[in-house]
Amino acid sequence: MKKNKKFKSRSRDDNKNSPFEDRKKFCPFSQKNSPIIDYKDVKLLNRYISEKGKITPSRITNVSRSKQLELSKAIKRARFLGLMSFTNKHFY
Amino acid sequence: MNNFEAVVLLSPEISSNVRSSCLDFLVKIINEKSGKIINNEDWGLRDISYKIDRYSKAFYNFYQIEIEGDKIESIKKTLNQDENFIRHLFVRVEKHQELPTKLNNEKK
Repeated sequence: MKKNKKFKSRSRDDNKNSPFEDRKKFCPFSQKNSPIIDYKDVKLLNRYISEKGKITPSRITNVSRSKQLELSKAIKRARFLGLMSFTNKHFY
Repeated sequence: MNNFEAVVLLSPEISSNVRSSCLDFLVKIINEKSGKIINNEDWGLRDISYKIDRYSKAFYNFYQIEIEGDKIESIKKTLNQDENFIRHLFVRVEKHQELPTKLNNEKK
């Protein structure tokens, strides 16, 4: 119990620069004023694909499970319409 | 009645007269099926990121429609038979977004 109380009193800014910080990771789409996932918004979708054009897994981007499903669907729709490419082969 | 979004790609080789008549044809079909068009937007000639039917560019058109869901399949069938329509996508949405779309702003 004591340990929990101590942890609660510390704010996030206090240990911002410490190398041992355990800052909580959060989903970028589940916050209050986070952007809406849409297949027409190519600029936003481009952040969640790798260099080769693959969809990045959610364990790297910290997107929640339900939002990752929406995101992957939106990317696939954008690919179908030719707004995004299936593969980025330009660096070979 | 449900809300739908439609994106239509037209071939870049046809003249502007034929293109406008194609789009009128689409509007006519939708009105026949007792649907109505709330908004439409012209995205213009854009690059496709891969080749579709040997074309590397296409005219994009975007529609916001209110229509009964089971009538969409017959619209798709007629669009598939027309050669000028390269590709089309119908998506059901809960609520229509405000225009203009973010895609257009980015281009400018």
